Amino acid sequence: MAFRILRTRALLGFCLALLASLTMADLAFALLYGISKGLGSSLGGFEGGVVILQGGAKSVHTSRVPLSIAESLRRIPGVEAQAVTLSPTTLYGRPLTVRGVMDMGEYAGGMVEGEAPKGSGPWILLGEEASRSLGLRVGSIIALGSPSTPRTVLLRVSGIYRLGDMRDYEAAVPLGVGAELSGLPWGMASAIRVEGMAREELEKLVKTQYSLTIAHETMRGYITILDPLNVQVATLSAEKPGPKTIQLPFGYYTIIYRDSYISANLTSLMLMGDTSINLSQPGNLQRLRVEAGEDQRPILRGGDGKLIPGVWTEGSWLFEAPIGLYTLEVGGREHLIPLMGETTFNPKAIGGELGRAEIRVQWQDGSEVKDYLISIWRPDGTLVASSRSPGTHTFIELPPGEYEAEVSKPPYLARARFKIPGDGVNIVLPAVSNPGRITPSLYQQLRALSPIEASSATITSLLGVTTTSLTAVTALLTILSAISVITIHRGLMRSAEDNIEVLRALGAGRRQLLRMVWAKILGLDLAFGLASANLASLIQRQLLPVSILGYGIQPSPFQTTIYSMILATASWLISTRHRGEEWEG
Amino acid sequence: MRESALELEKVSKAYRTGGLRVEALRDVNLRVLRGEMTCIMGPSGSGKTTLLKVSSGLLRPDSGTVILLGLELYSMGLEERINARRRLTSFMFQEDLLIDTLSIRENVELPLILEGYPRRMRAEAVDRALEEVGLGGLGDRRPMEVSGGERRRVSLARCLVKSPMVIFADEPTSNLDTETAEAMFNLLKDINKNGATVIFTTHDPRIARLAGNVITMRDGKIQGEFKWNTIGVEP
Repeated sequence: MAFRILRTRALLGFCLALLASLTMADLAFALLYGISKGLGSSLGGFEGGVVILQGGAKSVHTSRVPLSIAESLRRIPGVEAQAVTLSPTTLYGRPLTVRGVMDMGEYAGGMVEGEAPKGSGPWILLGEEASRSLGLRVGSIIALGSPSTPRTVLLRVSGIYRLGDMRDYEAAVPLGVGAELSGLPWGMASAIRVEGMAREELEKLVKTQYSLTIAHETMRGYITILDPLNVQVATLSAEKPGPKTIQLPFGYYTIIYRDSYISANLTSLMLMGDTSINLSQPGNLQRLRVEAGEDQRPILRGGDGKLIPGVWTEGSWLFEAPIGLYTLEVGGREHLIPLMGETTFNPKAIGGELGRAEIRVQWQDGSEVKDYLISIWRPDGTLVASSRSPGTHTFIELPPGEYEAEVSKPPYLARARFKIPGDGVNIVLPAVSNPGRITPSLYQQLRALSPIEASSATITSLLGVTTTSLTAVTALLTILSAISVITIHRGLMRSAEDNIEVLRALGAGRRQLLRMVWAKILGLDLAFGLASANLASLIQRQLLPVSILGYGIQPSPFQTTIYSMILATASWLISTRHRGEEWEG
Repeated sequence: MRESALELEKVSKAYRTGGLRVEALRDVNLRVLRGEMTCIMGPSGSGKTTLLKVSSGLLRPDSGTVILLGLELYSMGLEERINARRRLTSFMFQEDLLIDTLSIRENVELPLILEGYPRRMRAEAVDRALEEVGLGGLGDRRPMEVSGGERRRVSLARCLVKSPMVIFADEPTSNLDTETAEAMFNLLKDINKNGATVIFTTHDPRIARLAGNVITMRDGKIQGEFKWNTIGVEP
């Protein structure tokens, strides 16, 4: 009877409108929650420190940051740097953000099932929420589609983690796999999180070009500068003595010397300001390792003809001598050795069964290349031979096997694989110098942002609105939806007002009205609050992950239910307040 | 000497409508004895309905004292007054105030539900009340499905279903044809004969003549009180 006092038709409309408005309110609440809790503070799981992004990038997902910066920053005492890639991929038609991670240590500590393997490989870790929503377990094989390339990557789920933040809605893969999914060039990451360095200091450090001046005496080969990823960033001819200055971005660099049969690590340095080094400065004894057989007994002499004694150890001959120019006699031949750092001389190609190969070097337009350094490497990375070549054709004699030829013609560098015996190889020097090197203009674009700014930049670039306006809109939506719930209550009460007034005229007091009518409406409210919370959760699972950039951040069903109940009860309290008109009781 | 059912002493009530102050009751003094059938007669706007509402505890006066069956109504708390009103009196509204979404039976049953009567007692009392007003076969209909006169009877049945000590009836015969109006009056008369005090308003002198005690009002004041029989006027 109580419901019929509220009029049957109005009640049906009320129920539908209440369900719809409460569901809308729950969704608005979920969106607000997702933005304020999830995206606003922890997009990408960056809870603290500073985030380095590419300034011109459209979002975190499309940003490109040199990985060498992270590797360099990690070498500064007290500084933590973690490079990541972020790929918004799809799995079973559902969005899933995949994070490429440099160091899986934090994930290994949060495993709830399976394990985080060490090293790179075709494996993936799933966040607990992601595994739940996708219905995947440890051992599942999944095919991830890359949004940037037409490739599909097959990965095995090796573990499930819980970190208690946004990353629980993601998946984690080794950085290399992440870079492949993101379509990033080798040596690039999406972003770098840095802790232990102030934002302004960090931005200045990564955007500035520093001068590196190298002084040396006469040498025949080349001085090569490598970044932490062993990418050659500069090559200088060492033929003429005197200081040479180049401009380089911040980084940890290794300086090596290459000449025929010689590869010497001269020094390593952290370039954080204008720096000068003198490679010829006398100092401690330097080591020369000669990869010759024990019976070959190499002889090392100084410039004054003095004999330097060597010892046979660990399969090679080891000499120790001060920096200087030396003559090495091995296998019946003499070689001039500039000793400026840890140096390795490998004359093994000289003896045994040899095969011959022709290496042809030319410019991209087909013209002849003159005077270049050619180095031959084994697949395991050891230097086999190095030679200065005057013309386009170089004939080289080596034992049978697979090799890689590296042609260095500063500032150009090219590599190609070949076999002995075989037809040799054509090496074409590219039109662009040093393609592996990251251009200084990219460093100029880098920005150091707070995590919230990084989130904001991503939202702005993807949705075209600022985080503030998005938060304001969702807050407004939340308020409007709450008002709509209250309005619907008021509407029902208005439509039944005359009937309720009849009860009051017949002597129904507050308690009786509460028992006869309001308690039943409250029951309806709470029932619909529960129903709407479930409906909203169902809709959120389908829509919200799309609407907030692949992240399914949403309040828990318990939180949604509590919100619904509070809203319904508040609306009920407001709408059942008697306005006391004609009579009192 | 019979006890008073209702006593009003210097009761005043004013409304404010459209910025104007309208004095509906001005220092009204009134005494109605138990078991009497009293008619309050006067033109529209004379304060009849306000007097009934103030007397029944529905409307708090601005000043004065209202004593109903020995209870000083407006010195009581709100819930206490509502309980007293519900238990001792019934009010028949001029507009019927029936709930169209309920059946006639359910409308009549409402006062008993508010009183907390058990279901079986309610059913018996409702059947009896509907029989008394001549609506025995119409209990399952909706108020919208019966005539104006029948709606009035439903309203009356709802008043008498809980056997109140005092019945206030506001214009019980308005908008009814002569025959139906007289029938309605006769029903009230029967209720009065059974012991209930009946106080009703009308502006129809023909109906007023049928009541034993008549109080006339004008401009919020009682002009006079007389009994038709004492001045030799027969209905």
